[in-house]
Amino acid sequence: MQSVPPRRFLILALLLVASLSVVVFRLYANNFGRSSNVEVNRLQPALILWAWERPEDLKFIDPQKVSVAYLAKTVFLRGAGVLSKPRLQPLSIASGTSVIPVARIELDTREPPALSAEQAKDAASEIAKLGLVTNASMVQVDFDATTSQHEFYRNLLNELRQRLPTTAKLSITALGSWCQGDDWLRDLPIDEAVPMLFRMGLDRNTIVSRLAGEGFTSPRCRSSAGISTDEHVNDLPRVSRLYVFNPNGWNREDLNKVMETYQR
Amino acid sequence: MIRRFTSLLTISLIVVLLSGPSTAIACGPFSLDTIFVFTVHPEYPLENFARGNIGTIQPSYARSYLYVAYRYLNGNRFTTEEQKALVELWHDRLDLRWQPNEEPSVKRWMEARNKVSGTAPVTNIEVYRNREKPNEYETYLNCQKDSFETAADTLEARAQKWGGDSAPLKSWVEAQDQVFANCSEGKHIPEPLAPDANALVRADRQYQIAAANFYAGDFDQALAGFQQIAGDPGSPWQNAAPYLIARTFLRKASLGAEDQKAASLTEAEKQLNKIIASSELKTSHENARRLLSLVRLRLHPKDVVHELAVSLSGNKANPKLKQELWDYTILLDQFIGDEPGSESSAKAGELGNDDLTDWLLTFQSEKPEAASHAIERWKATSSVPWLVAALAKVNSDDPSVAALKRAGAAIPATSPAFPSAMFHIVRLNVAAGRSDEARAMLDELLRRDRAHLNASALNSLRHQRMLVANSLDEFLVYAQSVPAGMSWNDDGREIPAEGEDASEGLKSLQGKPLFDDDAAKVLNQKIPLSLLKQAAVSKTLPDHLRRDVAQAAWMRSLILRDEATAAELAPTLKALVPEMAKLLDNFLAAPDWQAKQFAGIYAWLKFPGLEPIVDTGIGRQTPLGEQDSYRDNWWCSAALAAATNNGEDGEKKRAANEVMAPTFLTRAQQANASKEYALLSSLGAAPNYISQQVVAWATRNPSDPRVPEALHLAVNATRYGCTDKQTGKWSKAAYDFLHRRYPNNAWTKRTPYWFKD
Repeated sequence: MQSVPPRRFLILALLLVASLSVVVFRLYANNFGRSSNVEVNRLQPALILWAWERPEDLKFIDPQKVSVAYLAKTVFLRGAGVLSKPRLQPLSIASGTSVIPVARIELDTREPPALSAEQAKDAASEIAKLGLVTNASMVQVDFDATTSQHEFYRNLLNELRQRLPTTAKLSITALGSWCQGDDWLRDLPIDEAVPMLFRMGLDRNTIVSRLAGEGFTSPRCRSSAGISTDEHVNDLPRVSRLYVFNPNGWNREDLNKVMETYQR
Repeated sequence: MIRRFTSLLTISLIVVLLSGPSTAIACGPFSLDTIFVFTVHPEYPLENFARGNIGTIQPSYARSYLYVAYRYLNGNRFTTEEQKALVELWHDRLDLRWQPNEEPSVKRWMEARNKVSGTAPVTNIEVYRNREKPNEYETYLNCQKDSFETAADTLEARAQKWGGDSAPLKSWVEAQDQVFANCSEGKHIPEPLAPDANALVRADRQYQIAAANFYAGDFDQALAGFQQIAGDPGSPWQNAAPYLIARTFLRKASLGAEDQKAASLTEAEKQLNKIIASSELKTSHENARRLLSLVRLRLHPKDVVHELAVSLSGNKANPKLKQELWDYTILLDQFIGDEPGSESSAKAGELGNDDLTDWLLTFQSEKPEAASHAIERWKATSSVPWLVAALAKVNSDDPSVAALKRAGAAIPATSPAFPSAMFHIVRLNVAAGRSDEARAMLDELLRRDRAHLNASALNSLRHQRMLVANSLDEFLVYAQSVPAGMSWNDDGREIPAEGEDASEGLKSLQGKPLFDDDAAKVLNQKIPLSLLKQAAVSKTLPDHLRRDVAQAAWMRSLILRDEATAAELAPTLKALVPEMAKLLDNFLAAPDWQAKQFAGIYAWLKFPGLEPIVDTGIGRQTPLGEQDSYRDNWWCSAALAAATNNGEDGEKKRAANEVMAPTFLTRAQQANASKEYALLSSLGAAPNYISQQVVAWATRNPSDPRVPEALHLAVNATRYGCTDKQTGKWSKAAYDFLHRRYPNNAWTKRTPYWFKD
């Protein structure tokens, strides 16, 4: 048996270490992404009611079965500035309810926002305050983004991720079109993207047929879905987490109907 | 500092405590909509409505507009000041462009305060505070602008008295910082001063301590503090204290324990009545009256609704119009909901004991008994508002229709009731099958009375006229209307788009006639190809609409395999869409129908904007020959319609999608149109149909040089067009054919994938 010369051994050893590092890194990276999704999927309760900016009395819900994602603030991007409007409508929930504070981002049409790096930081700082809400399992950001705005929102979410407590999960609402095609969600620092399966416009048919088939291309969109009580979704995928919006405000009857319809 | 209050403050309090919220959740993507008839509010500028140009009033309008309509229908007017107040109220409610009112005052305070040397500068003050109650998630505006204005004024006065660098001033500023630290969180109470301190310094401090407790939510401590100040004749804050006691009771009622709310409101009411009765507290009277309105609003809402209705119905100029109308409509929203037709609430029965409220609720009601009530009220009062309500609610087979129509016809053209009355008389004639009567009346109205109609009212009448058209040409005249507005309408508020929002392409359409939803439905579902062909060549339509009709007719003839019509229409389409000239020449030169059909499909692949239907409103904005980035390519609506008509809501949606056939159409023409539309709808997603046709042609004519490109484009269509469950099958078929038969072709290399769905 021929012995390996020391220099060659060193090179081989270095190559082996490098290869192992790559494998370990990849495993870590994959596990990181997967474990994050798995953690979100395990968050209970998995039926979440969206409580928008209107008086909502949700004391009737069973906190073992239902969570509440409530509009906590609206962040207006105007010119170079960021204005934050807190929730001004009452929301009461049952004791022990798990909550998800939601920040809605609105772009001013009369004074279009700069969408600069600075504005992304300022908006992220405003939203990050929601990470301190008691009983919050995660923070959700609701926004509409055209393709040209993707980069700005990517920056904003990166800034937000850095500012949130390490234990806080980060969720975003997503247009159905974001969940297929170029998949700009892939490298966002989020734990969950919730495809909005209502008010879909022309995309509706494509999205509905995709749901009936193999589901969305983006893995980020496969664990949860957002629906509305006034638009029935026939082929709702088997998602871990279901968010429901009610344009008329919530009552016990509507909640029971949702639970019955979607077997929750 | 919480001394001075303005009406705006009261308004903001009411907004915070009571206002109806926005319930929209945004989704998208959004496109600019054309609005032919405004339904949520009247068309802009709202000043016209405030002036009395109320057009055809809609039950779906928000109640503040219906109130204004009621006044005008009753023959009342609004002064210029009142009109201004009305427009302000509407814009306050419609414009969700949030502007924090306190910002300039906070800035003023911080700038003044940061000039005091020897104190650490303050760079930010948060004015909102959480309720800090378990299981309640709500924020309220804790420190309002007047607090900062009063603080800045006091600072100025004390600096003059004590000197800008004096120790008492510095101490006052530091204590004030503590007061404002309570605005957003915690409890920060300044230290009391020793009894031997200067009297003014001590009085200021007492006031700061009470104010700090107020903002920190310790209302009992705040009350004790203000009560002490009220009894101190040496305090400069003595006269303000009684009012602040009332405010503290009110705050306690809003934010304190549930079981103490009613008692706190009662105390606030008592205290405010005491202030108003005291001539010594004259300076607080105005603010006290405003606050008393707010307290009574919450304590005796039913009484207040009635009082407000009576006041709002009065003939005298009302300087409090904005506030009263705001309160009145908010209270109605609270009692009966903020959606039209929501009067089913049991609480509605408790209201309506005044004419205004009764009329509003009846006019908005969707219940059948609303008609009989309106008729009964009209008979009892002979009033114009009840006549309009009765005309709007009654069905054409009601025995009162003749009398109502007679009374409506007697309304002069200059009356604000005229457009509504005319519209409903026409509606009743059309519904009763009296088309000739309706037509004659509409022609007269549109010829003689156009000046009395706003754009929405005009479009409502033109729409009726379209339905009673005597011929295709007449139909085409009235099928086109100039939109009353354009709006992104992403949240249903029908806010007109600003000029700069519109692209150049859209700007070119502004002021031009377009097809409204029903006109497009008639053209697509009720008019057979034989007539659509005539419409495509009719000079009645302007070129931009004729172009749409021509492409729809040509595409329909292609899909329905009507060779003669397709050939006949090709030159017209060529003239209207010159960029298609070469493809249309190829179509015409094709030797037989199958070759022609492939030439047509090939043209369709190259022009993804072609579709066998006409568009509603602005329609597809991407040029015909380009792919739309929101997948509005290769006739999306057929697949979309099929998808939305499925499911448990399908029946409802199909019913809503129905449109009346215009009277000129014969039964045979209607039957043909139905057959054609059913055939088009049965095709499903257009990319499937296209791929199928291309594969069929390619199988028979593999040497056709257009085939590899057509197969590539067909696969592309299955990705960028609207698809369904079958799309994957056809995408793969086209892909497989291309790769198997033309492995080295450039188009094959450009087609690396097929698409499942």
